[in-house]
Amino acid sequence: MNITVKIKRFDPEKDDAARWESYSVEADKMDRALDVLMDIKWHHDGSLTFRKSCAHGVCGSDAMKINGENKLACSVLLQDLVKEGGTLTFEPLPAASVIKDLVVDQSGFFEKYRAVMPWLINDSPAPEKERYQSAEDHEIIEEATKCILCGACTHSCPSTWADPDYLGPAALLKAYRYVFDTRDEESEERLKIVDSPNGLWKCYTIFNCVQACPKEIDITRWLSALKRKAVTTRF
Amino acid sequence: MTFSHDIVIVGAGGAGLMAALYAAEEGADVAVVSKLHPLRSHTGAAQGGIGAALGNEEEDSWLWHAFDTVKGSDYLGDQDAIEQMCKDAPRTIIELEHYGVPFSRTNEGKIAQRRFGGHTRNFGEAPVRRACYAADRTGHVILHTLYEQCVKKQVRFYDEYQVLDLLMTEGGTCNGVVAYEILTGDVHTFHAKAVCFATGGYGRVFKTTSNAHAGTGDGFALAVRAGVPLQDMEFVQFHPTGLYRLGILITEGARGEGGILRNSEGERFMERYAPTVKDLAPRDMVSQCIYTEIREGRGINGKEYVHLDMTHVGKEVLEHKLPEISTFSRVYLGIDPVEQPIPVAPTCHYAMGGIPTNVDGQVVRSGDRSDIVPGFYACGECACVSVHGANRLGTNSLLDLVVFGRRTGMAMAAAIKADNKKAALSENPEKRTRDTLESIMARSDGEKAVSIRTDLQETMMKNVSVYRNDDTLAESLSDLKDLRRRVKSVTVEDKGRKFNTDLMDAVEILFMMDYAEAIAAGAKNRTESRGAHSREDFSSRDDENWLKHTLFFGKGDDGYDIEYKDVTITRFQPKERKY
Amino acid sequence: MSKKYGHSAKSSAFQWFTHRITGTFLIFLLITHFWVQHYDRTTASISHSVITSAEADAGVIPEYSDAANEAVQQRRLNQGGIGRNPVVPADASAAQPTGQEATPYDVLMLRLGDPVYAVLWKGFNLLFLLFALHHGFFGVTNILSDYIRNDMLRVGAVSLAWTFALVLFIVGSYSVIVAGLNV
Ligand SMILES: Cc1cc2nc3c(=O)[nH]c(=O)nc-3n(C[C@H](O)[C@H](O)[C@H](O)COP(=O)(O)OP(=O)(O)OC[C@H]3O[C@@H](n4cnc5c(N)ncnc54)[C@H](O)[C@@H]3O)c2cc1C
Ligand code: HEM
Ligand code: HEM
Ligand code: FES
Repeated sequence: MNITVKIKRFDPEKDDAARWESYSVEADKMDRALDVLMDIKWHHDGSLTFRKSCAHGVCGSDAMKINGENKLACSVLLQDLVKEGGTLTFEPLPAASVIKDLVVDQSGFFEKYRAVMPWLINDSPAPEKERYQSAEDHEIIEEATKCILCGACTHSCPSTWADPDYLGPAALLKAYRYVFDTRDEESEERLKIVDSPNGLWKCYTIFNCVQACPKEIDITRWLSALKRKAVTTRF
Repeated sequence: MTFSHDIVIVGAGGAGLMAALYAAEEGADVAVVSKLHPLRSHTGAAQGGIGAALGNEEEDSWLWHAFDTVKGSDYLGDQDAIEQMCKDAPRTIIELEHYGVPFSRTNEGKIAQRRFGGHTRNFGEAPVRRACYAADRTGHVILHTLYEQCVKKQVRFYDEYQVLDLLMTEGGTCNGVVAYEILTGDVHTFHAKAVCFATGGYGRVFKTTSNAHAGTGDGFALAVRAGVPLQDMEFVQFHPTGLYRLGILITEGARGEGGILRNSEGERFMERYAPTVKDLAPRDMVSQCIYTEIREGRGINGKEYVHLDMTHVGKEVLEHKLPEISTFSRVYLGIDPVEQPIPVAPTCHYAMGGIPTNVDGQVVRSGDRSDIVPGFYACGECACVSVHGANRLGTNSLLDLVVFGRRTGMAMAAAIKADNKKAALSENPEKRTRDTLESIMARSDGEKAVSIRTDLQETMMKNVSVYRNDDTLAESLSDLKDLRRRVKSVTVEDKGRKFNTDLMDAVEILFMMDYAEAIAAGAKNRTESRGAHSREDFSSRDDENWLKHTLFFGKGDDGYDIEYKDVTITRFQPKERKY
Repeated sequence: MSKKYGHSAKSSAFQWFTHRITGTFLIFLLITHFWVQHYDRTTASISHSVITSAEADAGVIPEYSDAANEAVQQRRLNQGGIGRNPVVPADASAAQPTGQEATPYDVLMLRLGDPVYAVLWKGFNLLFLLFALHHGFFGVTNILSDYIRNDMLRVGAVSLAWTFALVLFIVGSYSVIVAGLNV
């Protein structure tokens, strides 16, 4: 099918502000949005810049705003985005500083990730075998471990748009994953971090993150559990 | 700019991070340089599991695991290394668990295990549950956990720095790398006492692959250019079940959970080829069988694919144990595996060969195993220890990463402790890199990387994939010669300094040319069929002449040399391989 | 690790929790409030005219106008008129009901001056006032602190908001407390 692709472009060495550029592209309805971008880069304009790697939604490289919603370009098909003759738009993730075209600076995103101590803390002597964890206990955190840290959620959250320092759903979900891991011993410390002015309480249960998550994680549900935990531990 | 660290690890997949973590545990000053953010590494795509004879679900022993691996490798794997890996496996998995990897659990709360192709009990009797897993995102959780631990240990990360050169002294000691900072376009030198390559596989030289776009095998090329040989490159694993046309992987775990391959007649054809283990035969066999079915006209609708039937497995299992692959087939093909069979075809998946190393990750530069390159280490898919020989068993790659990543990390840390003096850098270490980059940028007319790459992928797929013969291999070699000429005029349209991915595409195609030849040349020379290397003109295994490793020495435009190295055999004498 | 995150001595868990609690209470408080303001056409909240449940079952629903009107008119005569719009001239000759409807304000004053129920209603109002103000202003200050990125401005705006809330609380409480005292 023939579609018009509009891309919000920005070349740090030439442009003062972002500009829209349109391309007319021949594509198949079963193509991924990423295929369209690659096609443009390879056959129309080699300077078009975006991140990509796995091309099937597991590495988290290509989160961007597609037709106004944050998605992974490699995980949506054209048939779900445009009709014959229609227009498809690409923009970088909102509330992030743009490096070039669709590439954004994720250093702030990962600073938030590091802030929640995203690692297992268990200082008691390690047993000979694995630390046991029941299948039920594992299930509590299982969905949260699916997160690929693409940033679609954090950058879809109005709280982040308003306050770029808000920890954001991705980091908080990581905190959840460790606080609720039965093997972890340092949930208090981590709770103190998320229970800070830039933390958990800026989540107003807006659900944008849930809608944006390419891994279909029910983020708000887990953050609510984290809030309850923070409250009950505090009192 | 020049950065100086005790240890510089190139690549932040499972192997690189494991090495970094264990070196950092020993207190070494470690830097990890990666062209992708570590969490974007392709280890995150590994689905099915990681093998270790934990015996959590049923009786198992490391010796059985070793036997299966040797047999799977079609007796080309070095048995001392295989024994080391299988013996280290349970302990390493337990350590991973202690680091926090969220494995799926058994009812008793132990690490859950599932069946996988080629893994058997009691030396081939019946399939065994040996693959430890976290649903179908085992690699993902391992990658994330390792990265988290490295962050905790304050390993220094240089994200989105692409290494473009390996530095060696005149005397052949490795003392650093040169890297291009993608964000700024600056070229930097990393000066180190020990350099470790963990740059992953090269799936992208083939048209259909389960590998990431970043899987361009940079490390293989850099090693070849530095005069290091590549071992057993002709052994390329084609995974039997890639989504038709896309190559996206459907894990072998799908068959481990009961999935069945069927041809156009609805026949469970693997029963014919491997009566004991059927659909769980090793990958080389299954891929070859699928190709045979297709060639004999039993592809679905006359097309080049067969069906992976999961419909009898049930929604419950698909949703809980294999959610990712259900999503893949739903999203990319619009097929619900609960109701319809999934169209699959073999997809280029894994590089058995690579930079030859010993069990401590030290790179070996000739047929003599004690002839190591001082300061140069390699681990992960880009290395060849060799534990996979002619065919890797599923779950053994992640295991290879963590076992040898760990050993390499510890070996490097020990080397630093013994002697922390870095070999001096040469006068202008960045010159070669800068020259290459500048000449590409300066060129105004020529060919874009993409058209060269497409042709390379076509010829490799057509001539050097599952079935090969002398003609196809000769054709590929002459195509490669031609491409080597074309690649000299590669140009870029993006002339900017910042985040120039166009330039990196060009650099990568240069890399690809340097090792693609090793695959085709090794395959042409090896006049037998063994494991994943299946010659139509020499259809049987020939232990008399070919029970040996290939060593490829590239000489750029001047062709190449091929030497051979003996296989280490300890317990298991080569036998006919039947499943 | 940035100081932006974590290790803050200040926990916001309590405020957040309070917000939920006040929100939950507001559901009931508001329902009651609206009921009383709009639907309680009876004078059930005024002791002069309590009806028994038996009466209610029997369909005896004293109209607002009958019992209350009378009391209101009575008060007007006694005190020379109250209310925002005195409907009866001060020199009205007799204590005759004028047939004029009592205003909500009048009813309110009666309710809050009621010898039996006033304490209850005043308590209700004070609680309601406190919860609504806390709930509303906590929400507003959340919004302010999200959107105002300048530290000084943010602290200023938030303080201003809470000061305003305090003023409203004082005014509100005062009106609740004094209401009906001179009935
Ligand atoms: C879809 C899929 C499923 C798989 N499933 C399984 C499984 O179930 N079980 C199993 O055992 N194995 C599995 N494998 C195989 C296994 O995942 C891979 O072999 C393994 O992850 C490779 O890891 P690695 O650390 O060597 O490299 P990668 O994880 O590929 O990492 C390579 C790293 O090198 C960096 N890099 C590359 N070039 C450069 C450069 N020039 N400069 C700087 N950095 C560079 C990259 O940024 C990246 O960080 C699977 C593979 C695939 C593709
Ligand atoms: C049409 C709608 C409304 C009407 C007619 C109305 C009317 C009144 C009246 C007459 C009172 C006096 C006290 C009483 O009767 O007990 C009052 C009090 C009060 N109302 Fe409302 N109200 C309305 C809506 C609301 C809403 C939406 C809120 C909440 C946000 C609210 C909050 C309050 C509070 C907190 C008091 C306590 C009184 C005080 O301190 O004076 N009201 N209202
Ligand atoms: C039925 C009664 C009410 C309930 C159950 C209720 C519940 C809530 C809850 C749960 C929140 C928090 C949202 C979040 O942070 O996730 C909230 C926010 C808020 N409420 Fe209420 N509320 C009620 C009535 C009111 C009233 C009457 C007002 C106005 C005075 C009000 C003003 C606000 C404001 C300003 C916020 C902040 C909005 C925000 O944080 O984005 N609420 N309410
Ligand atoms: S490219 Fe990896 S998630 Fe899209």
